[in-house]
Parts: sequence; C-alpha cells; structure tokens
Amino acid sequence: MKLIWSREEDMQHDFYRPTVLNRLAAAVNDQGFPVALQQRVVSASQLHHVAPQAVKDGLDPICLEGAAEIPYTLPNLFVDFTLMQIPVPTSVWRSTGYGPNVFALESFIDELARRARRDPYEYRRVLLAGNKRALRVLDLVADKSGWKPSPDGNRFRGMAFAHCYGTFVGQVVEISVSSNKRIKVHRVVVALDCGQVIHPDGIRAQMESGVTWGLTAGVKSEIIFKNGKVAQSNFHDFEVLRIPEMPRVETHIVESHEAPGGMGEVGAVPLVPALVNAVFAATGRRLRSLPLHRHGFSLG
Amino acid sequence: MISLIVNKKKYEVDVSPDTPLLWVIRENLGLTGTKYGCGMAQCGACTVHINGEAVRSCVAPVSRAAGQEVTTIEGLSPDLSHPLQRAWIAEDVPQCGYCQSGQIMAAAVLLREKPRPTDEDIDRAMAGNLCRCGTYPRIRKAIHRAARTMAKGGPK
Repeated sequence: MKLIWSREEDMQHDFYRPTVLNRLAAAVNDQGFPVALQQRVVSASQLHHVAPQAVKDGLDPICLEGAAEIPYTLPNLFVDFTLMQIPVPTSVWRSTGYGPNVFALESFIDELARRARRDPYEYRRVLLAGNKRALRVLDLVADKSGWKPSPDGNRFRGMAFAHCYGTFVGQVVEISVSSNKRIKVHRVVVALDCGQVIHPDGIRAQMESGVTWGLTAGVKSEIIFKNGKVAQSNFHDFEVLRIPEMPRVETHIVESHEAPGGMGEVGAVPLVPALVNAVFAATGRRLRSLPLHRHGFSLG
Repeated sequence: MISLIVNKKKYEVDVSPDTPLLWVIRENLGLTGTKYGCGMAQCGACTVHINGEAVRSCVAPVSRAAGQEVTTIEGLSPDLSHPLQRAWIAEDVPQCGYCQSGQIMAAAVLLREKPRPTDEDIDRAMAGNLCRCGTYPRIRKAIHRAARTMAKGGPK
C-alpha cells in the first residue's frame, strides 16, 4: 500500500523553518572598522525534532551557525542566544542557522561599510586580512563580477561573503529595480573554495539550486499561522521561483586540496544578503526582514 | 467503461468519468512517469499531451481524454531517443527529477510551435512548470540544444 499526502496536507503538517530575530551592534574605530561586534540571536529550535540530544542547557548549536564563528577577524565578539519556545514544529531547512544569521551579519557589514564611506568589497578585504583562503574567494568574485556597486545608472550590485559548512563562498547579485518595486535579477556571480573538488558540475548545479532557493525564500514564500493553523495550502499562495525569474548563474571554483567542504546548502547562504545589499544600492532602502514581498517587492 | 488511447495503446478502464486523468494513468495503467505535484494545475509536474497539446492531467477528468490520443513521458520516444531526452541527459538537467517529466512534455509542445525558441520564448512557455531544485538554467540550455539537434534533422 502506498500513501501519498496531498499538497495541502503536506504544506500544512510539516516541520517549518524556525523564526529568527537577529540584533547587531558594533563599536567602530575612527576608520569605521568594528573594534567590537555584538550579535544577539533569538531562534526557534533547529534540532529539537531531529536530534533532541544535541539541544542542551537552552543551547541549540545549529541556531548559532554563522554567528558564533564568523570569517572576519575582530578584537571583540559577543554572541548571545535565546532559544524561543513555540508550539510550531520547526527544523532544519536550507540553509539551517547560516541562512538567517549570515543574512543579518552580511547586511550589517554592508551598512557598516557604507557608514564608513568605504566600498563593501574593500571593507570586507580589511576585515578578512590574514585569511588567505577567504581573501582569494572574495577577490575572485570581485574580479569575475567586475565589481562596482553600480556598473551603470540602471543596474546595481550587492555582495555577501560567508564561511559555511567548511566552504568559503562569495556572491555578487546584479539587479535592476522598476518604479513599481519589481526586481529583475540579471546575474549572480559565485566564487567558492570548498577544498578538494569532487564533482565540479555537481557544484555548479548546487549553486544554481541555492540561488533558486534563496530567491524563493528571500522574496516570495512564507508560512503564516492564523488561528492555530497554516494559512497557506498550495503553490498559489506559497509561491516558489518560476523560470522567468531565474537569473544567469556564473560559478567560479578555486582549485584546492584542502579538506572537502559541503555544497548542498552553501548557495542559498550569501544570496539573500547579497540581494538585499543590491536593493539598498538601487533604492537606498535597507530591508531588515524577509521575505521582501512584505516590503512590496516582487521578482520580474 | 472508458476507452483510452495512451502512447498508441488501447485501454478500457472502469473508473468514474470525473476521475482525474493523472490517477488513471498512474494507478490503472501503471505509467508512473507522470507525477502528482499539486492537484490544482499550479506546478506542471503532471503534464501530458492530449492530441499533442499540453494538459495538466491532475485537473483533467478522464472523460476529456476518452477516445483521444494521450501521450505520457513513457510514449515520447520508444528508446529515450527524443532530442529533448538526449539534451536533458547531455546537460545533466535533473536533480531530484520529480518535475522533469512535466518539464520535458511542456518543452516538446514548445519546440513543435517554435522550433528555434529564444530564452524569452522558453520562459513564457515553461513558466507553468515549477522546479524546486532550480534546474531552470539547464532546462533553458537543454531546450536550445534539442532545438539545434532537431534543426539538423537529428535523432527523432
């Protein structure tokens, strides 16, 4: 006997991506670089339903991915965590703790760079000083994208960087935004160092996949609980990316013989902050919550 | 009893006329290449052809197909030699694979209508077919590749 859940049953009885709130603060020196950074993370559990033994003393380690260890060298880092107890079953979802935490951190780095009146790429270079693998990836994505925050008056770019799942990854997202807040994503440039490369075409496929997932989660889809049940039921009200919205994805892989890192979740991690940073470059609006359709933006 | 012609083969099925064609194809005929994705014509995973036109079989009652020529992914070619199937393999399109039968069936209709489609033509024709894995860039490439093969009169 074979039982198939209907789309509605599946969508309304799942384990959902945890709600996360990040609050960041920094003290900066007279050059505009942080001497201290504070990241406070409040999250529903990632692991409770899949590996309850890993959640101890109110600490769910996956909830701190991308916050507890960051690629930047800072003299002072304070990370605080509160595990939020909610009745909704939550679990890991592409891309676990890195997704929300790197969105917050990389948006914040972009804000710090602009406050310091420095180019976001040059600003990250300074913060990555001494981290050779990270710098090589950042330089590669800047080079291959022909990095400039705005290559002309109509197109705008955002950048984000992450060290996640053992892989260094940088992305540049190039967009234009119409007067009715339709975002056209023209191009996503990816550079990465995942250590020893096992299957290069598999890496490219996962980057295309991560971009798709990131654009979907960053702009379009969300699950909302109303009166104790899920309001969405099928793909008409839980929208996922369609082919006309899909940008060109260019993936550049650093040849490396370091220990192999992960690839399955990596692509979606920097996509969302890079997109949001591009929207800031285009509109001057800093968007601090997702998905972007809540701010009136759509993909076109 | 309802008479069906699926992939050039005749069948008689004893089902209610309002049964979705999808479930008759999958459960009565055992042709499981056609997939259930949403049940409301939102995702395209169940796309088959009726008289050569793309139809969402999850919302089409079996009565609509009675006596008509139905083609499923299994009937696109006898030996995986359709230019789209070859192109799909060459470009390594699928990841999980679930939506791919519907993608290929939708693309087959596009190529009949527009033998040399642009990216815009592809985007317009394929917008109703969701892919959660994000194989969209490769779907575009594979359709262009199949179009080139067909223009050269390559494998039918």
